[in-house]
Formats: sequence, C-alpha cells, structure tokens
Amino acid sequence: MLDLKRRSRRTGLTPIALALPLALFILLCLSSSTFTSLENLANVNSQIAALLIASLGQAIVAISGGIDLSVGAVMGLTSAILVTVDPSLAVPLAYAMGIAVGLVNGLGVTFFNVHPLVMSLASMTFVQGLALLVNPVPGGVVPGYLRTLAVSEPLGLPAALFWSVGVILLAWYLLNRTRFGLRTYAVGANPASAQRNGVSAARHKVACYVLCSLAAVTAGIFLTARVGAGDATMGAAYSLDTVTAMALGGVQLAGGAGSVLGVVAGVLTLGLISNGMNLLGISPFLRAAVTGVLLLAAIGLQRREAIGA
Amino acid sequence: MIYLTRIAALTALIGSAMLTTTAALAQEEVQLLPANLIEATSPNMVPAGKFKKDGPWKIGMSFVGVGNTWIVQMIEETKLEAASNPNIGEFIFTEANWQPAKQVADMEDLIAQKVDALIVAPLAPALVKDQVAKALAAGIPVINFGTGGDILSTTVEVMGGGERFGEVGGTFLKEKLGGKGVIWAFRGIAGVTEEQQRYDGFRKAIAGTDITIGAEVYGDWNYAKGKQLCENFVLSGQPVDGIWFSGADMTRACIDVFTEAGKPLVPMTGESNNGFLRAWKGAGVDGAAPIFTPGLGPATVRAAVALLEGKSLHTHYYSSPAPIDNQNLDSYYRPDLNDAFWVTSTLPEDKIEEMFKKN
Repeated sequence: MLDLKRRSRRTGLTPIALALPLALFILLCLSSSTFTSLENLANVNSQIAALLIASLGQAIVAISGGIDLSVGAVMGLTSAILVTVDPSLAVPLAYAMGIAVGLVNGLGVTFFNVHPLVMSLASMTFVQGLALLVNPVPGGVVPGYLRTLAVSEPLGLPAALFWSVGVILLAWYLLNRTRFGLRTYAVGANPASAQRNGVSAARHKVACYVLCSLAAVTAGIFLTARVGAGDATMGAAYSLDTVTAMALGGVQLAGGAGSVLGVVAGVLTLGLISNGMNLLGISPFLRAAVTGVLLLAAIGLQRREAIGA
Repeated sequence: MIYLTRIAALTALIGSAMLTTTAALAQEEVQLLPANLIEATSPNMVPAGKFKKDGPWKIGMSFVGVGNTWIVQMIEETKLEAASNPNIGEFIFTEANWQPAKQVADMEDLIAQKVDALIVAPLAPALVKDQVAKALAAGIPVINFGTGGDILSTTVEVMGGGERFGEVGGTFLKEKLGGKGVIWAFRGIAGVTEEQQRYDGFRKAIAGTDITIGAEVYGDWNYAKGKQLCENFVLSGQPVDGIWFSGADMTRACIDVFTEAGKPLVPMTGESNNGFLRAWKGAGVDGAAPIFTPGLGPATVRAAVALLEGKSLHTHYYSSPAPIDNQNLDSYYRPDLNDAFWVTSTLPEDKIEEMFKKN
C-alpha cells in the first residue's frame, strides 16, 4: 500500500490525467460516426506521433527539474537539414546538431547557472534563426528511405504506430528499469541529496538535456518525413505543446515526478481535442481556449506535493 | 444512292458537332468575382460534369491561420457565402494556426469526413502535396486558395497577392525615388510562401536600380511589432527615402511612429485596408496600395459550387486589380467604417455597416 502511494507520488499520475483522454474518446465515439473509422484513428495516431516523441524527451528534462523551450526550434532545424544536406549525411548531421544543442542547454543551466527558461529560450531563438537561414522557404525533397519509414503501412498498420510504441517502450525502460531513470527522479526531486549520495547532478542534467534534444531531432525527422517537405518553422508550436502535454499528464515542472503513461495520456488528450474539434465542426478558435481550460483544470485538480524534501 | 446517304450522314455529324459547340459556348462563363477583380489566367478548363454531384454538399476549407483583420474579414465573407447557398449542407472551416503539422492534420480530418469539395490555403504548397493528392485520388475536387506552381496539381487555383503584390509597391517606390535611394523593407511572417513571393516581387521591381535596402525586418504583418521595429529604426537615425511593406498594418504603425517623432514622411506602400487608407489620407503620405480582396475567400466557395454543379471552370484565376494611389484614394476610402475593413468586399452593404460601422 505504502509502495503504491510512493509510486503514485513519483509518477504524478492522477485519475484526472487518465480520465481526460478516456472521456474524450467516449464522447467522440458517441458524437461522430467518422471518429471510429480506421482511417480517422490512423490519422490521429500519425498526427500525435511527433508530439509524443518530443514530449517524452521534454518529460525527461522536466523530471530532472528543468525545462527545454528549444524543442520546436530543434525540430525545425532538423527539418531544414534533412532537405538541404546530402541524404547520406542528413540524419547523422541532425543528430549531431541535437547533441550540440542539448550540451549547450545543459552546460548553460548547470555550469553557468542560467535559468532553464532563459537558457533554452536563448538557444531556441538562435536555432530557429539558423533553421530559417538554412531553409528560408518550405519545400525540398525528403530522403526516400525516411518517407518509407514514416508513411508506409507494415502489416497493414500505420508506421506512426511503430514509432509511437518504440519510443514509449524506450522511454519507459529508461525511466523505470535503468540506473539513469532512478537518478533522473532523484536529481529532480532533490539535487543536493542526490549529490550527497554520489550522483553528479550537473552531469546528469546535461545528459537529460542532450536526450531531450535527441528526442526533438527524432520528432523532427518523423514529422518532416510524414509531411514530405522541409520547413524551418515546422516545430514552432511544439515547444509549448510538449509542456502542455506533459503538464496534462501529471509531470511536475518542479521536478521529481512524472511518468511515461502520463505523457501518453497528455498527448492523447491534445490529439483528441484537435481531431474532435475538426470532426464536430467546432470553431478552431475554440481549440486553444478549450486546451487552456483543460490544462488549468487538470493542474488545479492535482495536489502539489513536495517530493523528496 | 450510297453516296447520297454518306453525304446525309456527314451533314448530320457536322450539324451535331456544331450544336454541341454552340451549347458549350453558350454555357455562361462562371463569374467567381466581378470582372475588374479577377481574371482567368489559363486557357485550360476543368471539363464540365467532371465533379457533378447532387446536393446538399459538404465543403471543407483548410486555412493556414488567423492573425490579422484581412483574414478575419475573409473568413466572415467565406462563411456568409457558404451559408447563403442552400445546396451547401455543411461548411467545415479549419485553421492551422500557421503550423504545417496542424494543416496536414486538418486536411486529413476533412478527407476522412468525406467532404464533397476541399478548399485549401496552404502554408506552403510543398507541405500539403500528399493530402491534395489523396483528396484527388478520392475524387474530391481541390481548390487551391494560393499559388501552387509546379508542386500542387489542384483542380482549380484562385489567388491574388504574391509577386504582383510586392511588385506594385516596388515599382511605386522606384518611380518615386527616381531609381536611387535607401529603402527599408518590412516583411511579413518568416517562412510563409506568400510572404516570400511578395518580397521576391518587390526585389524584382527594384532590380537594376541604384536603390539599396538599408534595413530589412520581419514585422509579422502585425501593427504592434511593426511599430516597435519602426521606432527602433527612427530613433537610431538610420537614413531612409522610402519604405516597402508586405502588409498595411505595419505601414499604419510606421506612419504613427513618423508622426509621433515629428519626422517628415517618406513614400510608403500599403494595401487596401481602411485603417491604412485613413492614415494615408490623414497624414498626406505619398503611397500606393495593391488591392488584395477578401472576396477571394468567397470566390473559392463559388469555384467549389460550380464544380459540384458540373460546370466548366478555368484551372487558374488571379486577382490583380489596379492599385490604389493618391489620385483614386477617395473612391476607396470609407470614413464611416472602422480600421478593420478591407476593400473591396463581397459583403452586402447592410452587413458591412453591421460589422464595420465606426462608433
């Protein structure tokens, strides 16, 4: 019993976080005949896959006590690189860029004590500008093998499903079955205490920022391949959407609490809101307002607890 | 006898062909907007009856995003046009908040809902080519509210603005400045194809002259951002002989900055927004404004309706009316309406007064 309670505190999961996507799913099943069609469900999966990948990276940083606003810009630069660089070099170069941005963010936050918001805001601005310099006008040709990886239908299932399941399993394993995951929670909950127990909090946080940027690169690759063209601004909305998704899923921005299941629930909630609004013909201007209200409700109904104090 | 029969058959064939041709010619040319606002720019036609379908129809529109008064008015005009047609059972409007991924998702959702016609205003043609192809493969006619170039092969293309928009402003400044001087360029939202096309048109117009670009910024087609940027330039004392704007909200902001700072106005370009026309007339600035009518939205709905009615349409239409200048300014400016109104409008006068009457 005590173990369950402790686990719940660490995951940040609340009944609200899990009930939201479930309630939306039931509501849409009842109100739209199109919603349950295979075509639409496959669409929803493809639409949320990039957000899921980037949000899981964001969650790792958040659990460690940070935040990364450069996620969207990294996705944009990835997109720009994929359509402007030799196809054989594009993916390695994009990942190298991701590592560099993550290192800069992490080192700035830990060794230069810059606040994560300011640090990642600065890198976001720089990376976004760089992306527009590399590819000022949307277009270009995405390497064929990436298109196949993103839009094919192996075994009759959309490729996005495999991407989603893959990153969910990877993130779950990393956070729940490795020493890295345990240390991430420890550093986020109480860095001083983690330090006293032999964990290099600074080095660990840098690693979290690098992982987050790598996740953003992966999300950028998937999104660019899915759309079939490069766009330097492709990820612009993702910086805040990833924060919204993980907050909806109970990940605490103060660090030390969060779960993969929560992030999946948050991403599903956002995806279903967007898809549902289109299917029901509700004014798109309401989407942002509804998302904001849901976020306020979800956060307001979550009891804040001091973790690891 | 056989010879006579052949002659009779040939005569009948020619007669029938002539009748068919006459009937085709008799089909009234579909008027998407008044002739002075739009013209067909391609001789290629969508064959009559290709997309004919019984009503009521479900028409979907994927728009790129909101953010200025032109878009708000265009959406209102488009929705009113759809609502006034009894054969349109449902008109689904989506906006992508300037996000490529959201626009792709919106289009997928509209196709899944089995719309009878799809109107798309793409953030960039390359970003939606898969969804356009998917809709066409499903037998859904696609009306491109934009320029697709070689990338998008939509059923019908309806557009204005673009390079021509930028060119009008660039040509005006070139003439006013006598081909030499320093220009500031206020651009729209970075990465948007329409923005790039306007800028390209402007650069084309001043190419080969001694005009230099002293400063170039992205004002996001926004009054507040435009004002900040213009203030920075004016306060820094940078030289300027003329200013090119990708959108009139930024022009209005810059006229305000010049007036507040007591700096003599230089020739500026704008567009057909009533707020800009008011500022233009009030400040007495030397200006030129290409007309980018919000009526293009209703024109796309009319194109969709024509296709579903089985009518033949040209494949390309372009709107490039004669620009507003200091001579004809009074015939466009509406002092009784507020700054959010854009000329020329398809709205009925009572609706215009209801929506835009100045308090």
